[in-house]
Amino acid sequence: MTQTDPRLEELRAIVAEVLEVEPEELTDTGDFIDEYEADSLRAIEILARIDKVYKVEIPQSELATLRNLKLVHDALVRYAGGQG
Amino acid sequence: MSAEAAQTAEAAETAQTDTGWAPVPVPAFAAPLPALDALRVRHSTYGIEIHARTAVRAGDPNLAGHFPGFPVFPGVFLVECLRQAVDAAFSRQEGRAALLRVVRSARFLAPALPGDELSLVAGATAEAPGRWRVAAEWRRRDGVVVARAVAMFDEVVPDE
Amino acid sequence: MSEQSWIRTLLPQRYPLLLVDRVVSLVPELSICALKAVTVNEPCYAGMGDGAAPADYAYPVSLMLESLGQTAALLWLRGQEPAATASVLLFAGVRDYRVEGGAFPGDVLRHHVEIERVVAETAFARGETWIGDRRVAQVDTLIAARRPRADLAGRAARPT
Repeated sequence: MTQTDPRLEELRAIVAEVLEVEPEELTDTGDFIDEYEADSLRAIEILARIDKVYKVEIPQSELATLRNLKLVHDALVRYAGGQG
Repeated sequence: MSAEAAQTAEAAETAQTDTGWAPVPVPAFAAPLPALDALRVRHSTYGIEIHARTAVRAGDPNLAGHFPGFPVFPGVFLVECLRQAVDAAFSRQEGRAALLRVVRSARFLAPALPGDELSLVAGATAEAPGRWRVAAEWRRRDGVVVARAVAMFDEVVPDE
Repeated sequence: MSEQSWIRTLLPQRYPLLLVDRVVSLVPELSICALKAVTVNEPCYAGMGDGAAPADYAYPVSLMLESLGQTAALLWLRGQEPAATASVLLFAGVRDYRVEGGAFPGDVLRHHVEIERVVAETAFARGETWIGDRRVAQVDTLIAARRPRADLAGRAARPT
């Protein structure tokens, strides 16, 4: 499955940068809003960064689901075109 | 709080020199506004800690155009504040100056409106000879963080 | 479509912070090229003494960035409803803005901007600024947002 997807660590670095925390501080299931004080713009930025880095367009309707790293990774896999 | 902020606080503990609060002369270079009311600089073994204060004034002519009938302090003016603060901090040593080269990241998080007083705290650490990494945070008096930024400055030493 | 009158239907900024003079070309929802002429009669030069050094006449980086951002905003807002009074245009952030050269009175800044993504009233763009055949700045990501004016006004309990 996707547990060993190398993109997960890459994604951790990308998301950590947007949330302004160190990658080591960002856990797989830590809630962006509750644990990392993210506002709504952060989720929007994460979505735009994924679009830019992976050329994967996650639709706006998924914004509310991007609450932690694992869910972001799930969305990336889901919209990356047929795999996962 | 960020690791940088903690490091800055730690740097303050071991400050070796401290200018105390002092007024800032009007910049000699082109600037959209004299952005700073007061400046305080501490040098330590960790780097330079820069504090600055600025007020958003209803009478600032810039705000007449940003925006008509709805004045909001432009986000880029926070970058201007940082540039002036870093330059003033370096200028206090033998006519040196600091040039803004890269805005690594800047996030404008909350509006600053007329009547607001902003405080800037910036920690500068040398990344290479003559090249400084500056991490900055602006807060309103109510404690709300208005913006955060990381920028790179080049130190300019006057020719002998 | 190149006229100031058209620019003013889209951008809420006015003097002295309306920093786009002319649109040269625009591909809807994709790219734009716009000009901003730097002149010594701009307010940022008003306070300068005659003894200022040549380098002191460099056009402020903060205003170069604002001008680039306004170019991006023009591209984004084109084809949308004219500057809605109920919303306010905000510069939300920037990532990796690199200054590669200076602009001086007499120079014409030529901004090239491409929109990369628009999500939830938030636009992401990349861009470059040229003077003639010399690139003077580039940016990886500009972030602009449109938010209800009431959100900002509410904080200060200010009538609009």
